Amino acid sequence: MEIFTLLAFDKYASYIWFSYGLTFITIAHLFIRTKSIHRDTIKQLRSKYLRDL
Amino acid sequence: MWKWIQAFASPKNFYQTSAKIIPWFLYLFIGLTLIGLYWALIASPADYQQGESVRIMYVHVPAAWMSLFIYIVMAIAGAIGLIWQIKLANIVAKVSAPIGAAFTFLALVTGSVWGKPMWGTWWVWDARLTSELILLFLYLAYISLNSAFDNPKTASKASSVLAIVGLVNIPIIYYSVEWWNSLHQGASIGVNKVSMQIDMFIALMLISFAFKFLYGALVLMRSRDEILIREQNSTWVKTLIMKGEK
Repeated sequence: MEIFTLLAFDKYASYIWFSYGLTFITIAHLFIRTKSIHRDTIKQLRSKYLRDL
Repeated sequence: MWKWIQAFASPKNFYQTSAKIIPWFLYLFIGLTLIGLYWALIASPADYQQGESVRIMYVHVPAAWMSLFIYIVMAIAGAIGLIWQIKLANIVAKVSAPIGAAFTFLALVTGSVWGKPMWGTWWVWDARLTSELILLFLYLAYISLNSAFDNPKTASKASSVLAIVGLVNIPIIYYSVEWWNSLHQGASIGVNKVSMQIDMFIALMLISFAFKFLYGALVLMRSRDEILIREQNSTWVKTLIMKGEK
């Protein structure tokens, strides 16, 4: 209970949580995008090599 | 040293070595973020002037530092690629741009969110804010220019010149609060001064280093894919892909 009171941050709570939430979303997006680029690259190259066989 | 750099910078060696480094960067990022969040949200006190809103600074300031740091890395890598024709330098410059743009976007938005309760407005056409916005446009221009050419060599040359010219904006951003009358506060951390409470400084440093390791991991991960594409006609890439290795 005390931790929730501590994290309420009086009248600035919405500004603070929005900033941290946006940071989390941006980092998650960067990471997921990087992973999906990797998956697409591997898939694209594999199908190219199989076509060339 | 030069031989070691040349050996590491060869695409095949870089691809293999980076695979071992990436997990460590990610562990350090996660570890530092968790400790940094504890320090930023729980351990550090509220500021005597800004109150609890100072906690936004623990993501805003490191994001702003990253926006400058990544741009400098991008411009230096671009210059190395132009002068010494090192392929890896061009790759690092290219993959850094979207990451830098994301951190610049984050710095602008979190700064704006902090500005509303503190200054009473979301945005002012102040020297610091405007020059940081120009930095975001420079990143976007770099990304657009780099993807405008089919030939990666031409794309690297054109975008590297843009990155180097845009470097002039970095000292403008940094010294804007000293050169012009600005609503934005001056630097609290300098070479010989830290004008903030120690817990606040620790929170700032932890998140700042966490972001550095995240950038390192993302650059290595994206560079590996770029290497696979550029080296797709070489035997080692064919063998690697057909064996199903990652």
